[in-house]
Amino acid sequence: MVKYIVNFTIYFSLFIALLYFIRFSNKSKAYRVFTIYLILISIIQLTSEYLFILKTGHTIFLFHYYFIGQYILLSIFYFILLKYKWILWILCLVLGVLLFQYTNNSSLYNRYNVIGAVITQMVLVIYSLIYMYKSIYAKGEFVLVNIGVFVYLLSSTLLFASGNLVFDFGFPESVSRMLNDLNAILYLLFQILIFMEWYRNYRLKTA
Amino acid sequence: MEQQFFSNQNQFLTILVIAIALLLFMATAIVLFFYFSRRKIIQTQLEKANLELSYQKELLQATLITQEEERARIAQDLHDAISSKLNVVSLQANLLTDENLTVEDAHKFGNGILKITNTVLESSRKIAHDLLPPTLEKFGLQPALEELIEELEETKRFSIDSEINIPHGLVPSHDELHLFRVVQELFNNAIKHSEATKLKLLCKNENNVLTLHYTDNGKGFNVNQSNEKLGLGMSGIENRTQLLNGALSVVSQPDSGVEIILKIPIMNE
Repeated sequence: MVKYIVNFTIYFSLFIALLYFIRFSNKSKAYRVFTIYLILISIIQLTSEYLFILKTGHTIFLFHYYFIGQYILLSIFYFILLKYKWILWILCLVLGVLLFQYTNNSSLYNRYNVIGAVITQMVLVIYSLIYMYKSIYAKGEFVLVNIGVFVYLLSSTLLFASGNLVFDFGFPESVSRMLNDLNAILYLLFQILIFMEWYRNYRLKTA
Repeated sequence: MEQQFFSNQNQFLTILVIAIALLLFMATAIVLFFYFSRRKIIQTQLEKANLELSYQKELLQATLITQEEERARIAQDLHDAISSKLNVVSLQANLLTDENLTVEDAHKFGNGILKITNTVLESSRKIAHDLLPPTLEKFGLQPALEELIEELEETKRFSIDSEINIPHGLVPSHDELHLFRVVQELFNNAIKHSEATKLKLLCKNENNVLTLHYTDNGKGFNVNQSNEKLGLGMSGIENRTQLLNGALSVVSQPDSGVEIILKIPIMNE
């Protein structure tokens, strides 16, 4: 059952990315940045699935692209929505910290970067919280997506934080798979919210 | 040893799942909190907008009623003072065309026509004057108000104490008209409803605030009963005060007269 959900999220992410991409050209900046984010995620998921089928084993390097790409794109996304300049400063600062981390410790590439992931996800959670607060008073774009970002990033942080257990404490592969499955379930929730946002606000309406 | 490792592992997984469930729960709680706050705020805004709308509707209705009353009054005036008299003129002019008319009769009818047309002229001038006093347009607010007071004094119903000091050009002409209408409405109320014997009107400019202070010793009214207020044309005065960006204070109680203070800021350009 869970296996189906995992598979479903992979193809569903491609599907959602395509849905958003259809009206890419005549939409707001925030919409475009978010579409690029969706495309990035679906590419990473598909590559991961492809590597898994090939049984090459190592897919963990994709995680670095995932969380850094997610952080950059969603930071720009929230910068457009919130219009706070300091978001860009924080973006540069965090990227600097990550650069320092990776240059200092090249073995990090083969593990989960727990600290990096937690920092970037928490920063994004704070942005989404600020945006939620702002959208109380005014009708804004991407309210549902924002809820999805908030719920998914907040709860998945802990999953990523415990990712290295498999390496550090010799937990069996089944634990890692279970964590992946849990993540897939949470991610499905996020995807449903993204889909609902598209359906409510951006679907092609026959006038 | 191995067993302990597995039980540790299970324990860890349980804690992890509980922690994630808790985070999920907290996240949902926060989202719900925002959602309900938003709903509440929207509801409050809606109620406020509705209230404003109904107030505006009331205002509009009051304005329409006043307009209709004014039309009815003008129609009545035109009918009584002009149409009926012109009928008589027409009748007498018709008699003048009679072939067997004597010179004496012609004189009589001619005089009659002259007399009636003079009255009609006077009446039409009066109606026009009531609609828009030429004094206001030609000489400004102060002479127009003085003229209004004089006219009221001629009715011999009131003793009027007035002090008006509004330099010409102090108030823009469209605002002058509003102020004039306010005073006119106050006097109308005094005539129609108040049963007052003494009126007092003070108008002066102090520190760029024009103050209009009106008092009478009439029977007053209940300020809190809006229906009564509407009937007294107070809504018109309120509207005009709003248009003048002014502040209106109405103090009155049944049997203890009315005191109305209107303050409007003078814009120095």
